[in-house]
Amino acid sequence: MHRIAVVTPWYGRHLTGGAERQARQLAEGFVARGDSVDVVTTTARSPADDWAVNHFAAGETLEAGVTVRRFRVDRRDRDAFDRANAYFVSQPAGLRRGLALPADHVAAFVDHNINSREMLTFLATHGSDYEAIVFLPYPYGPTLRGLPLVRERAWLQPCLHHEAYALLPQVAETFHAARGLLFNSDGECELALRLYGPGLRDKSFVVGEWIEAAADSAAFATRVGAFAPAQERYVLYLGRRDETKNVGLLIESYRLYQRHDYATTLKLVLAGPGSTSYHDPAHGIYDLGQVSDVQRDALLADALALFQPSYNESFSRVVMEAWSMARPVAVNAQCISTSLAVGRSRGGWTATTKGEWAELMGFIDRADAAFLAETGERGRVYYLMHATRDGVLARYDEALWHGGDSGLAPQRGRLVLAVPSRDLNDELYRRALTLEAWAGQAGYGVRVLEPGERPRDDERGALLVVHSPSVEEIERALGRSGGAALAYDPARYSESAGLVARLIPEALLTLVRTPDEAAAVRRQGASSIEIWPFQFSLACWDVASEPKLHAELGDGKANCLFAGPLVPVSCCEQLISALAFLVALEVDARLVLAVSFDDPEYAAAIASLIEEHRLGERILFVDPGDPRALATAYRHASIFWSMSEGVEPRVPFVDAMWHDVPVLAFSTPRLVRLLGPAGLLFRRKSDSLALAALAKLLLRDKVLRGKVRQAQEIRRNEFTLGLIEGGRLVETLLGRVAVPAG
Amino acid sequence: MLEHNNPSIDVDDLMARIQQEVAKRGVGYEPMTFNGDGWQPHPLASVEALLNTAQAKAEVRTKWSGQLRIFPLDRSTKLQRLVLGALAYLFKDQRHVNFSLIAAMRESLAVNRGLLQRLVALENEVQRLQSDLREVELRK
Repeated sequence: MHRIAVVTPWYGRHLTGGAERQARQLAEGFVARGDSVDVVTTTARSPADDWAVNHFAAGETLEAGVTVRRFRVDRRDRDAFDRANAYFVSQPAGLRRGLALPADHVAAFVDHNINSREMLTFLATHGSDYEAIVFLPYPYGPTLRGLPLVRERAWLQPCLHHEAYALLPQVAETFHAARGLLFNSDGECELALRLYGPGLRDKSFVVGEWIEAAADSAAFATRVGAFAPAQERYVLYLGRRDETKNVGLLIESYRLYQRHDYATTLKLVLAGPGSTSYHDPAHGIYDLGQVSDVQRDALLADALALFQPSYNESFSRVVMEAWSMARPVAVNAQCISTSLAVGRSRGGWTATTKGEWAELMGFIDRADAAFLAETGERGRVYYLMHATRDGVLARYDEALWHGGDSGLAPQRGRLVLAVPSRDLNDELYRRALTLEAWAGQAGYGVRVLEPGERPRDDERGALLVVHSPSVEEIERALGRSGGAALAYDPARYSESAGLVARLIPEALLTLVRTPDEAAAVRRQGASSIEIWPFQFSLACWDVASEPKLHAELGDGKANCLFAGPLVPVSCCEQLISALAFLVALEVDARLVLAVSFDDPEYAAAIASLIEEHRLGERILFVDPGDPRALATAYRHASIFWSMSEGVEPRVPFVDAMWHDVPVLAFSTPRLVRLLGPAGLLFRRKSDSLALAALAKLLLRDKVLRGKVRQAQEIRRNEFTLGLIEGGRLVETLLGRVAVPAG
Repeated sequence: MLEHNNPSIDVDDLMARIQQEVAKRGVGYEPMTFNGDGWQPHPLASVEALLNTAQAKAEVRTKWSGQLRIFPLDRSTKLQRLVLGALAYLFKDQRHVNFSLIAAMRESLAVNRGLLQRLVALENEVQRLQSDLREVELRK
């Protein structure tokens, strides 16, 4: 039996919204399985009521086996919130992930949201009483302010939509602060990774949501008001009847279809809550208002298809309800969650524009019943695989109790990792960060030392893993009592080759990247060699954006990013020249250089070049040692542009692919091997104007960008492992070494 | 010039388009800004957002607000419909005024948008001239 809390702004049987129903379903589902569940909620009645009114009494009640703890809501400035909310709601669909929202609206939205100081005090003092605390949904005060208070046991079930709220900095902070993320659908998970970066990958779990199967068809209502479902041919919309759900588009599409086909008997039926009526039976539109569950099932059972035009869905219960009754669905192609489910199940169709929706109505109007039933049946198979109670609860178990923990005994041994710098472009440092993440998962105690830092006295017995070419670090490893291991890199260790040659024979373990390197260290007398392929953890990207840089880079300019060392082989002067031509081609662009200043002379030459060409306003330097700043640079990057002729580092190319940034790079044999079919590679760079034209095409041509991104999406998987697989890899690597307990 | 590493990209076609871009350079003027992800923040977006809010609020209300829980109105749906009907009738003229003002404001917004586009075009022209100068310097 586990002790779980579910934190949600509103709770009760009277609520019909998707997230509110899910909160109740989840709490009661855990209780039915034998867990102890507390719901932490407010005294407010519902999202549609005043959020500052204490409708319910504060305190503790027992509802269907669930302990419901209600806390009084704070006073708020409703007008300020409504103004901010109206701004966010009116923003267009398909917002860019790097969009910077007006600070005053953001502050008003967060400060005057539904908040409860009493609830926050409870979470801060009693949060540790629970093994897991699930917060849902994402854009409300209890989540935005409560989750960071209990982050080590907080699980966020966001019910995420692609909407302006998702771009709030506070929302991004919440996603990064949570211990784990629980998603209702693959599409929702994909959207989160796109919006907040690949750092969330290791802690994201698609658990789904279950739909209770409809009652026997004999129990269905025969009439809904004056409407008799069994006697009509209609397509159905179920859900909130307002513009945020794109109902207006559906009605316009239906009218367009009617204009094309005067003789049609197809009707459009709307059912659900809403303050505006669209009822127009003379023109085939039946707005039935809010209906009971029995009436809803009757409408679904007889509908030719369910139409769900909303692009703001994280799961869409009604789609699953339609599939549970083997009815096909039509969803908005712009809604990643529903369109992905339809694509995978082949249980329906997608449309975007008014013309496409109208065309789809015509297609369904003309389709024979057997074809519609066959399509609906494919949806039903998908429903059975993804939305049944037992399956969903099993996935919760997997996430909550095994997802962040390998189940192995903690402290199998202790490791301290010596690193050369905190530069995230540096392959040695990233190998150390990866070892930290994956060895932690495998049950080892790990600490990454600051560059130049000595291990503490209590770490004398721990295994020192050297990832640094510094002479001091290698000398420290020689003759170390706890033993030492070496992350080998011949190019980086060339200056300390003599010392490394002494360390290799006495190292308990030498980690190499290729069989050639393994052969080289074997010749030098290495006793235990393990090959660690070029694979990295992405956990270092689980950080929120740096606010100032986020605002600066989110100004609408095209951001061309280069990351790596600022040394002559990086050829940054050619990048600067190409940028000048790109601007000349009327592209409003800037160059973002996330570079380490390893060569002061070259850095000075670059600075004077920028000055000379008056490009200071279009070139921005970002510190690669600052994870938040570098993550911000990747999240805003329009392309990753490299003229580098050097063989290292390879890490930034992989990072660019994981941040969904198209790569445009000078082709070297090593890079061709690394990227394979991914990226857009050029072999000549003498003509800066032609390169600028190529960059412009990659920036503006969506088809070309799509092709490059698609290849990158496949290729990038070669270079990382999930947390559990990574833990297993490290277990294999360290398995044959007696790692001291320290 | 380009690697044939991605079979879905027609390199010859891409090269031809690069040549077109290069040829266009200096011949014609094409005002353009980055549009890689399909949407650009617009300075008039917040005005438009406010107008959308105004329009949404100006519509006739057909459902009783959940926040108005005043006895006896919260008990009788007939009474609620009666009050909503009376309000709709009383504010009919005001609604016409509101809709006309919103329409006028939208027209004005369209004019402003056109003016802004022309301003951006002029700025780009200036930018192009500046970059021409830079290019000449780079080629020296």
